[in-house]
Amino acid sequence: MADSNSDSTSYSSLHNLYPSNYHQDNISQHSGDADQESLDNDYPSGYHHSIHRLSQLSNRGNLKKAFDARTGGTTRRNLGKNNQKGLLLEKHANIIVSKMEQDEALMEDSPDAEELRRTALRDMPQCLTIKRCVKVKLSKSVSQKSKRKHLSYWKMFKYRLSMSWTKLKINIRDLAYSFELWYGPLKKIEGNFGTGVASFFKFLRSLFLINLVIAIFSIGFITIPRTLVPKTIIQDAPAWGMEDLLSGEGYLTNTLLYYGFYTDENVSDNSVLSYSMPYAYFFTMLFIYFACFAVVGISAAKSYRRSFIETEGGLKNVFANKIFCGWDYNIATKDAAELKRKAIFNELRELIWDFTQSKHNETFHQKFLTRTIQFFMNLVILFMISGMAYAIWYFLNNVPTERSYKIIVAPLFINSVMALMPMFLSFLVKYEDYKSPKTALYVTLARTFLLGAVCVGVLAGYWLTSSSSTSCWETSLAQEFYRMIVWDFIISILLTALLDIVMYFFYKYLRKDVYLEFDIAWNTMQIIYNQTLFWVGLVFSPLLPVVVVIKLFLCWYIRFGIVMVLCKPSSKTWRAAQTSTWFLAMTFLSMILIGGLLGYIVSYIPVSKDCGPFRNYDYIYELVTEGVFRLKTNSSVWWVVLYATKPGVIALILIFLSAKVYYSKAQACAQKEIVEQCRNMLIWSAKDKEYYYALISRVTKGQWQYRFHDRAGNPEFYEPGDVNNDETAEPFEVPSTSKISSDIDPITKQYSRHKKYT
Amino acid sequence: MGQANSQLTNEELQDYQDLTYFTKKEVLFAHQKFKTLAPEKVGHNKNAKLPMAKILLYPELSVNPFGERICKVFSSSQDGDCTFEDFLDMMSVFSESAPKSVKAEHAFRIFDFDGDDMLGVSDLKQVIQKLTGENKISENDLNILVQNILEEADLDDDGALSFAEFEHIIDRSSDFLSSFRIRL
Repeated sequence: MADSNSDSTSYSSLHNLYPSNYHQDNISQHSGDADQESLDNDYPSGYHHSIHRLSQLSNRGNLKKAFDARTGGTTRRNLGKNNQKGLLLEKHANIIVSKMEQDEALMEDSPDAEELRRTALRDMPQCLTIKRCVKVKLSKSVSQKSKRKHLSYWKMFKYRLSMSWTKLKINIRDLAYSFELWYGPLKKIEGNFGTGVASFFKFLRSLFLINLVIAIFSIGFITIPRTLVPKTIIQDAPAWGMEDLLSGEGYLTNTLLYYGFYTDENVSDNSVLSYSMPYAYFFTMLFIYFACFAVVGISAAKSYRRSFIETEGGLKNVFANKIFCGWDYNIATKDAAELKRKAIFNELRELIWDFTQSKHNETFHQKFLTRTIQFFMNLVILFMISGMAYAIWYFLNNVPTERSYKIIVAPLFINSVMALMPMFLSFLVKYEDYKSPKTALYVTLARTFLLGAVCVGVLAGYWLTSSSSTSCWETSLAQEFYRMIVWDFIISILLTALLDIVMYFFYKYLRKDVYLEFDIAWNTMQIIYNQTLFWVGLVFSPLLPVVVVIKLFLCWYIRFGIVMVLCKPSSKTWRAAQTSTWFLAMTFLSMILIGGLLGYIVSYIPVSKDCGPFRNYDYIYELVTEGVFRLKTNSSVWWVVLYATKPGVIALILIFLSAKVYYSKAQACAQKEIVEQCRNMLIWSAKDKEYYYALISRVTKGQWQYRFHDRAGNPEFYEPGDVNNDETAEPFEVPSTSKISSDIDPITKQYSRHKKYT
Repeated sequence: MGQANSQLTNEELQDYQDLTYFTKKEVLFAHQKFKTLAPEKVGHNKNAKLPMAKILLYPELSVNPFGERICKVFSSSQDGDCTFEDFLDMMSVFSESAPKSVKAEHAFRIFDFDGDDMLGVSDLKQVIQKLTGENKISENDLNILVQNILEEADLDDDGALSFAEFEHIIDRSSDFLSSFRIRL
């Protein structure tokens, strides 16, 4: 910033183009046009720029110089003025080139510098025509001026590698672009309904793709090898019936769909190359779960970082956010735009209302009342959920074993609860008087999630506790989850779609001006629930991903049709970025819970003895310990493993990890504070400079005025530069100290204001 | 890329890929979109300069309250008429892969109606009026809003937002990236 002089002289002279309207609304305490020339506020913008660009590009050398080179020493905003001065694009390009040529790192003739030049040019806020012009000129001057450095083979190899890696990335993006699934529909939704509704469809699409990949893996490594093994002929296999599709039993019981059908044999009897089914089954599943865990975890963390951590701290710009980030640029239809305008208008009015009303505080009595209501509501809902769990448990245990009746009722009941309860919960939350609708939404989401988790937990628990009395409990568990998924499809997708259609025509018949709105939260919770069911069922049903992929595929088109035909955009703004982080976090949480459940199954539930690939082992984990590592139960390594997995040891590790997390968190907090202090120091030093500039210009102005009085000429003819040339001519009029101290006042006021903020 | 029906040469495509946030395929797609705005004119000259009225036919821009401002900001002649390169530049800045800082830079220019490199009171008022459209917001409310925005964001107390102050707001906003985006 220190040497922004080269720029600022031309810049401030540019400001002379705005004698009348420049800073017309400026309520600054400084007076006089000459002051404002120097107060042109370029410092903060300068340092922000340089921090941004330089952190991406390089961190050596003279900061401002490097920054100048990279942005062309000018921002796009300045370009507007240059153009008004009649500067041609060509000329402007020349300026940028000459600025960039000053930076040596940028002008080297190496692939690294080439990449640097590319990013610098790409991020430069100039129009494309200029950029192309600059690019041609730069590459010319690079090949002329610098001689090619001799590179060692190792470096050459590294460059080649990195170049081909960038190329590969671009090619993959290119390919992904041409195969992007549901591109058109997504654009349509964004155009008609904005980013909020589109975020649900994007989430649906990514789950669809994840499940598709899972399906490919599980078919490729488990199902296809199984079909190569000669089929064991099963006597008295029931005949195929359509109702089997709904119940998952009958004919389907002994098919590739379930664990029980898979064998423990090797696929090939060739002694050199053989394919062991148990290993294949175990490791494919392990890989799938770990990959899912990683993918969901990383995207949840990324999203969390983007929408919570990076935006945390400092001031909350409620009003500014509404104004500057309020419009959804994706909107492409008149109706949607009109609704969006109305929504923004209402929100602004609400904000103003809040602002004018917020002076009165809640009384203690009111506060106490709302807290008590909230507490009791939570208690009631907890009771309801546990009651529901008990009802399901009781029902599963005590209904007489006429299977055909029992098997349908359980999924029917649970799925209806899962479809209706969220609506009931969001109805209840209205009476709890939460401060912001956002909190109310999060509370409802958390309760819905708890409900889903409890339902799934009870169901899994029932089959695990009755594992000893069932002949092949793995298959039974998988069948239960297959039924759940199918009936969830029927209830929460088909039936609600039907209901929507009926409601739509009902409203139309009544000629009421009521429209259906797409409930993003409810729909998203439904697919998270579905995904949870799927992840539990997958472990004992290698073909379940196919079912789920088909389900999500149909779900997409049904929901898309409903939205496009029946729904109207919402009149409320949906904060897509933060809410989708919540959804991802819930998906991740369900993944963790399932991980715990699977861990329990693997280590504590005995395997069925007469079905499935693991039938030779007592517990699934023995496949790893005995099968892969060939550990004997009494060897010393075995004892180490046994002790390492004792609860005490694991608790110790957990405590250590928590301490580590706490330490990092504390460190992060401290660093944040330092950053905040540094930022304030920067602002203050900018203010300092501003003040001194004001003083200097005041001094020079005094002299200038003095001259002006003497010659009685027209002041416009004298440029400030002119003044400096003949300093000797006139005595220097120094402003009196009283004048300076009167100037200090407003500035010290500003300081105190900053302190207020920090 | 060797597309038979493409008007763009291979070098141009490479240039565009290097200088924007698009891949070659996306550039070609953008050109198709540009062509639909004025098929004959673009058919004759791939980089034809289209008047602002034509550019505003693009659906996202036509309903956008700042449509005209956007055209003016990205137009290389500053009057809202855009060549294909200007259009591509615009789409690239609005694309998903453009970084926040670049987007903020252009957003600032869009909101800076009078071009004085500061978002003054009149700029803010115009932004709010454009956002709310026909729903008339009262002068009093308008003043309260502007006053609040300045109180929140105007760190140096000069009654206007400089670019640094604007970028500060954008940095802290989680919604900006998802809303300041146009799917090609």
